[in-house]
Amino acid sequence: MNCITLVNVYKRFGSIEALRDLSFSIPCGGRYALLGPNGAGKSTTMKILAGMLKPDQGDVFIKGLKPGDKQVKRIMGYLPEDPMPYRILTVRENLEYIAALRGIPNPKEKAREMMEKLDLVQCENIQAGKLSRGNQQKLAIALVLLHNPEIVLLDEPLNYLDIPTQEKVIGMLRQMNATFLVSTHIMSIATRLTDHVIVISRGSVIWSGSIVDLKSMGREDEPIESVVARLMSSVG
Amino acid sequence: MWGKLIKFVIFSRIPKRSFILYVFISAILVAMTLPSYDFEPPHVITEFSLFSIFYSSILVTTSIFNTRFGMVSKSDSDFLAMLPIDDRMLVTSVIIGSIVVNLALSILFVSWFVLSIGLYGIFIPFLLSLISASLPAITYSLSIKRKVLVALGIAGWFLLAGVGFPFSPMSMFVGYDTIGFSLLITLSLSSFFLAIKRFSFTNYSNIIITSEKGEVKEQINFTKVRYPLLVMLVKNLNVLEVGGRVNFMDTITYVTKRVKLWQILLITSLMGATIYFAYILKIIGIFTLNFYVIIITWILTVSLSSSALISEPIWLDMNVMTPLEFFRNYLISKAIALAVVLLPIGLFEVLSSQVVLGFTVMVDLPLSSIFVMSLNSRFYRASFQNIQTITAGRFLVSFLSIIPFVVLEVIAFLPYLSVFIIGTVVLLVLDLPFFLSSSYWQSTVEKIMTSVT
Repeated sequence: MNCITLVNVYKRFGSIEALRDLSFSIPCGGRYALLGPNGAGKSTTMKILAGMLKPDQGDVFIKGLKPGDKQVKRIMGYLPEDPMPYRILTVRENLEYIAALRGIPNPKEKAREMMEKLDLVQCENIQAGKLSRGNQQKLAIALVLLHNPEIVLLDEPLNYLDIPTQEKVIGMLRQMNATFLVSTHIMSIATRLTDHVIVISRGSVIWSGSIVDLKSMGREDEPIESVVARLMSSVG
Repeated sequence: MWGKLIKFVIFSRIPKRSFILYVFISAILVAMTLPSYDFEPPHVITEFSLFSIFYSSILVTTSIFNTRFGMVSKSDSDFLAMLPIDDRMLVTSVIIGSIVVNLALSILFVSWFVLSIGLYGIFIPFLLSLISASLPAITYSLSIKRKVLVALGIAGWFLLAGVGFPFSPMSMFVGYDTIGFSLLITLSLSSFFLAIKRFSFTNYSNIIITSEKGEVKEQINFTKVRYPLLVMLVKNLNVLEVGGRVNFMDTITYVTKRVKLWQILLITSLMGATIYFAYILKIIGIFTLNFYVIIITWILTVSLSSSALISEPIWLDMNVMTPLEFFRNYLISKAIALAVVLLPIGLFEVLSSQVVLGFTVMVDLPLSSIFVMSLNSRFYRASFQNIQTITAGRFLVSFLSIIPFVVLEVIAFLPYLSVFIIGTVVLLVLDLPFFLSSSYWQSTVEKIMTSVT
């Protein structure tokens, strides 16, 4: 069964065509990376899947439901690029607030668990707006994963994180039994977090397959980044 | 270079078309007002004079708290300040640019000033703009307590004109033209030169960075309530978001602050008590007092409502709720929080036998806030990081926001139960579409999620 399906999706912003006949699907439990150059339409795709933007044309389904549906929100976690939590609330308050809104039993305990997982305990009483950018990113990840979502959409999740924290987050995400779509333009992140790749350019899919297939398209010793770059440049 | 810099500062805040539109509308208003000045009854001129003093005092004093958002944007600090230009030239350009923007936005009030004192009134917005653009650059390094002291001092000095004190910069409104204008010109020019001398981009950046203390001792407890509306209400009763478009269209400043509810209730209780004694002692006529009660509580309401969504991470809210569900809860919880804040004023109104006005404050102002918040969220959302640009569309939204105010003032002048009921129904009808329209809020979310700022 497919957990994420896009069929012939179009989206325009004024004169700019962000998505053009975009179609792909991700099976439940799949770990996919959405790769593409700047302006390819990755973030727009993620926002449409999260129900924050409506496509101008085409169909989008999350487990057979429309994105933005209340049922979908219960099972999905979406992390945008450069997320900012409630800047006035502390780390703990942010987590307890969202846990309470989601109706998670025992929000205090859940907040503590997430802070421990992401090394946020030392700054639990600091307002989110006063945290370093890295800690804000960690808090945002914790807020998105708080309810243990079945479907996880992450837009550049490792931005601002130092290398040890990146490793910690990668380890945490890999342990989760969920469907992943990770938008990034950094190939090494894709290879660490996912096993399949969807390459988009100018709002359309130009290639999709497994990372093994992608590697096999390259010459001997050719780095995977170079293969992706070739793919992208092949469509101009 | 000067010209380029000033032009850049001005048009990065206000588009050329809007600027021309403001000047055009102001010119029409002055042209309409000026001929009627000689024929206005004295009590009308007195009312306009008092209101001009009141408005000017608010405009000038609130500008003191305007260090971050109204004058220098983050982009200015990050990029403009990095240009290889003399710091003094940069500062002067920013201040002159702010003066012109403030002038453009407050010029609409020029007709009031003209109605109060005649043709000379057209100079007052310019002088006030000079002061309101310069004061933040003078006081940016002061602590908040000192700023409050300076603001109270200036407000007191300005407002003294209202009781006939001649040595106030506003005394031209009570017949002391020469002294009033001399003081206002002296104050504005000295503020301007002092601002250029005192302001430094480097010090300013240091203050912004080092003033940040993030540790919180008393945490807000969200775990005792169950329903989303109550969870959001707990937050809104503990976090106050205040914004000011004091000169009607402009973003003067936006503040998000953690507060203790009792402190806010103490302030509104003091305001309520002052109003109570004003009624009991019959200091001014009852209708004039009703008018000012609505004005003051309206300013409070707009300050809280115009900051709608300023620090709201929509991406996070939309992870949990649908747009309609979120905004229903958001608007109701914000309106209840406002009703709690206004409760002491309403109760003091009831105590002073102004029962209808008391209920208007407690019920109709929160209902009005729902309308204002709904419009602002979609068309005129405050941005925490950036100075807002002013457009003709936003100008129109500001005018639409006046509709509830008109309803409230009708009740203030006709304080009967039937008028109150009709007014409340009108406000409910104005609010209702926002609680039903899913597409309105979906488009609002789309707009927020795709906006650059």
